[in-house]
Amino acid sequence: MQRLIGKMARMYPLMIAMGFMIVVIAFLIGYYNAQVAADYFANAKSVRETSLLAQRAFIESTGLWLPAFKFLGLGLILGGIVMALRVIIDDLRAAGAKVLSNLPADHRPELPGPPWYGLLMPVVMMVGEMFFLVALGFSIYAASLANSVFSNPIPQIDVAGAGSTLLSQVQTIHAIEGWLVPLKFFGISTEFLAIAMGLSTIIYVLGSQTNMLDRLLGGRQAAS
Amino acid sequence: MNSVATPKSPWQLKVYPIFSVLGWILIGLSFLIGLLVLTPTAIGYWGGSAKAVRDAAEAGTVLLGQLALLATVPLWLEPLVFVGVASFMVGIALESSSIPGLLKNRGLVMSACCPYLANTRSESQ
Repeated sequence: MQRLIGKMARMYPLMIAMGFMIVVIAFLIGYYNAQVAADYFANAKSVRETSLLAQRAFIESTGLWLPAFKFLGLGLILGGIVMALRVIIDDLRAAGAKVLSNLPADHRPELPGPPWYGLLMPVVMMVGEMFFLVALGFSIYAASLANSVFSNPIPQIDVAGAGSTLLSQVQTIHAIEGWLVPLKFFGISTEFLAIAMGLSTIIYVLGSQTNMLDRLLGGRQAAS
Repeated sequence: MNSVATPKSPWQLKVYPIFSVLGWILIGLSFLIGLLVLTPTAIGYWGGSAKAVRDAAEAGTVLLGQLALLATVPLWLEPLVFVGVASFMVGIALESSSIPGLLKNRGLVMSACCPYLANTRSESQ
């Protein structure tokens, strides 16, 4: 399993490129949304609220799903950094093994294994990506509701009473908005946790290999 | 043969977990506030009454209290989230800053070990 993760980790540039592409695409969509909003607000309030329903629905729904899409891009970039750290860890261990291969088998100490947090790092990274996907899923759902709500004239939305479908949709959108922003940041913090675990593993591998060489050196000095 | 003194553990490695855990707690707390405070309040405010009723809410009513909470909490919740993110990033920066010292020490140990490794290899051949 760890070997498979190690092989997949070598594809980290692809993950970073995908994340960057998503963020750039999000910028382009955001720019287009700004143009639609500029056209929309160039009209009088009475025209905007009764006739330009499709534009309003587009502006409102895009504003709901686009931030989560951007965060997915950022998440992929952070995931790529985690995978790059994994490659560094694997290469450090391989370099350590290569140095030790110079010693005869009876003098060769065993290379220390990776710590538990090093093994857990890719799992934490994947959990973070899951948070971003869940956030994107809910934001697309909220955006579809917003599209449905704002396909009605604003005065009709305003008079929607308790128990009506329109008000229930508005309620669901605001309820989702309440926790969606912190969830996206929770995803970011999970990716940061994976990065911190990766750095800790690098520090552990560096420290343990240096200590091992130090012990070898001490043993040799005592013998001579 | 050279000898290498074992270096002291860098101070950054002692401090970074505090910043990382603080970041994790602040962001987790923000998520819980969003889920357990903002969401039920939004459901109560937006789902219970039509716009005319909401707009006509007088001072001291539950509706106005809910509106105040929905308008004020996000104003400090988002900066709090960013404090959490910043705390995490400081933790990562501190952790990274300890690596050059470790690499320097590793270089010293490697250079001290090289003659030993070469001797051991030539003895075994």
